[in-house]
Amino acid sequence: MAMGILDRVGTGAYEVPDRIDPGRTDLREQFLADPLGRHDLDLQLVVGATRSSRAIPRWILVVTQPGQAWMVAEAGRRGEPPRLLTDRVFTDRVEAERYVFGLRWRALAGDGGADG
Amino acid sequence: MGDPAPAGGAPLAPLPLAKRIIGYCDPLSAAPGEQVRFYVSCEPGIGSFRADLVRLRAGPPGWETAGPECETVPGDCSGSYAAQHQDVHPGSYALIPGGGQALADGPVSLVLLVQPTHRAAAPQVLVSAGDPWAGPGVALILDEQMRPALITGPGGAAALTGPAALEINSWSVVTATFGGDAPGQLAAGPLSAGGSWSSATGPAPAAWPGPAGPGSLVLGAVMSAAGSTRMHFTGRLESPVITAGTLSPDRARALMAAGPVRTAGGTVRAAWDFSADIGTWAITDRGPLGLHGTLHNLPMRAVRGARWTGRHHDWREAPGEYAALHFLADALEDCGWAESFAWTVPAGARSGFYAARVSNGPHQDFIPLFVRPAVPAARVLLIAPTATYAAYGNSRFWWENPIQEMVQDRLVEIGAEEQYLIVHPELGASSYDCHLDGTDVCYVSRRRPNLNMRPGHIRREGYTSDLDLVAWLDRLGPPYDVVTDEDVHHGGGALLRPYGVVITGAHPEYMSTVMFDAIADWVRAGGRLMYLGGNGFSMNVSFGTERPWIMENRRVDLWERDQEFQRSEAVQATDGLRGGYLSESGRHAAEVTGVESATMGFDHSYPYVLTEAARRPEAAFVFDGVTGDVIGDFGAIGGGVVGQEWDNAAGHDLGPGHLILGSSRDHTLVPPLFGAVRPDYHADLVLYLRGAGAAFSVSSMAWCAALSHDGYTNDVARITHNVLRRFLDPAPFT
Repeated sequence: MAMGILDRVGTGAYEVPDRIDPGRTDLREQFLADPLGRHDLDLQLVVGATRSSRAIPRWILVVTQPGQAWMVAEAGRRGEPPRLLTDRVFTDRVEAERYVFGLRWRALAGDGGADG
Repeated sequence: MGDPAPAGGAPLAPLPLAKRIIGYCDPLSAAPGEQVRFYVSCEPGIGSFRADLVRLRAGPPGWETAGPECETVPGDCSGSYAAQHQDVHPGSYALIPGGGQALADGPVSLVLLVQPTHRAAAPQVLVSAGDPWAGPGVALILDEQMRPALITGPGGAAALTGPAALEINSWSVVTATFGGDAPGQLAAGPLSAGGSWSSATGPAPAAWPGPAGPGSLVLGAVMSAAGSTRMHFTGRLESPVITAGTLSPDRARALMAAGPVRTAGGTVRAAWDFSADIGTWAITDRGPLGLHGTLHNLPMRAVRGARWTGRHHDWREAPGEYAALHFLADALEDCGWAESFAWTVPAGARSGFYAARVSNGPHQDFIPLFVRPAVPAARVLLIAPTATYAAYGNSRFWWENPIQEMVQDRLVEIGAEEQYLIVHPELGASSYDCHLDGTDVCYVSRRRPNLNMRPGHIRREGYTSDLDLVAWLDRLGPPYDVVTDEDVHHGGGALLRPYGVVITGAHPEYMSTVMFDAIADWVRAGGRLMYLGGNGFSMNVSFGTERPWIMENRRVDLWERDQEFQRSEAVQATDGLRGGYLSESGRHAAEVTGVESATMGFDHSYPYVLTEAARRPEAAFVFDGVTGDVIGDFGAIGGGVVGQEWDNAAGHDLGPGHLILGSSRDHTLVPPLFGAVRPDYHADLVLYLRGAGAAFSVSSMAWCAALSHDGYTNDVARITHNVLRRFLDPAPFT
């Protein structure tokens, strides 16, 4: 099933899945090794699935010190403050990427996911 | 599926970096001798603030966090001011001064077409006179259960409530009879003949007008005695009619079916025709009293009404089918704040990017403005892309929509400005966002703080990148003037004519057809354009003349736009042209710049790799002093000059003067997956020679952010300087 918004962006040559094959731990490891790196098509589609899933709230990074510290939160409805997913303050945003990817992987693939 | 996604816990309030001082100014650009007024609001607890006028530009690396480089401008507005917390009152409405007189000497009947589009937690007022919640008055509302109700006060008690709720997104005829000694009556039913109606009848409601006499009539809200509105309606209203005496449902339905133009006469006291003057903010009463009104807080015009047949998709062909107004409880045209201070641009002030810096200790805001020249004072003109600043102003899609995280391939950061916006919906949204009912935002106003137009905004695009360009120009030293998009729109070709070189900002995506034509004609006539941005000359917007602070922007071509909206509400009210791509009206970016918008990708940036055409003698001046074939593998945006949004020349054969000097390559998968609007998603560096005129197109939003690399000693700065120098030389290109 395509993901709504993805029907209208991109070249339309690819379809983002709506769930993750839990057996593809190789993709999980590839992401965790370098969350901000260049990823191959299979992983890019999986990451796209985690980001566009309607089953998962919109998660964001609230900057607490510019360029230095972030907190992971769920964006609320318009006008509502974000709600913290954890009290943890991330001083490396790559770690925040790993943390959120792990939560999303568990929600869509259903295994142990990444270490949070 | 696996584990449920965890729900967010404690609200993060207050947000750690949220701004505590914000403001806006009006007008946005001014020439020496003209006055700019500033409007500032401080959070409670701040007693005073300091204001200074500064010229600003990008500073050394890291300036986005440390703050821009500021040059204080002596001015009579510098000083300390008492702080004031100023409220914002969004919500669209129509105000009809004296309209209450149509309700005098009851009984009278009110009938109109209603299409609610949002289920609110509070009553929504369709029509009101006076304020029956606070004193004398009458109001026809939809209650919390979407049932029509008649409120005659005092205290807001309902005199009558209809038994049936109106359906969301469906049109209904709603009619109420009140005043005099007749029993009150309320009824609602479909416009089509033969449908079933629901009605309520009760004792004669309280007399109207009240002791204060007939006042204004308000559509879409109730207005307090102090003049502020509340209880706004979200949805469409059409053809309100007031008649003397009672009105049967059959007669009410027949009146609505006939349309507004044919209702005048007989017992009709007022009949508002929203199909008249659709391009304005006025509404016309076809009745004998001429009770005309005005629109406030941006109700949407040129929208399909209850009598839309489907035969027409353009309101100009059948205005009677577009005789509705779409009221929006969260739309904002004008904060209407009390003036905090004003600045008269002194004689001799240098044209450029300015701001009022307002601060209290660590709390600070920059309120940008632009100083035009009194008369053209340079050969170089920089056009500040204020239409694009306005289009993106107060964007919420970054965190409300997955698209941004996908095109940047990383989580979305929420910085200081957005931490304020995220809990302040009353500041309105951008034309990339939706209203509460899902309606696309089609109008934006600059009479509100635009928190995206801030130096060092965390998105690092638009205004922030333009400050990189300003810093480079100031360092280089050529005299240059600055005007805004609005100035070009109003000044047209005459404004451009004195200049030899026009420089764009980093993202001139939006422009009016008047602007596009003026720049295109100027280049054809021998002007030299330095297009130092990406995704430019792309989308059509309209500036009204009646209220120039409003910009209409129907982004009909992109993203999740509603299909019916795309098909039948694409034509803008204020200029009668289709919103969306300028190419739809025959204006192709490539005709001016030699390139066309290609894609976006906020994950990585790329250098240009030079082509054989870069070695052509016509292009030699561009690369004077440049030795390598890879240009711009550095920069403050993703480490490359091709980034964020970019263009290319694919599919455009514009003749021998059209030189593709370099291209980007080896892109990530983000453009084809999430960002490309056409398959050729590389970027092209283009020189487009047209006899005396020319365009040099860097075709990317990231170019300007690379100018300062290595102390401005780099190939990107060198190339840009080479082109500027040659473009200032009036000798034709050979």
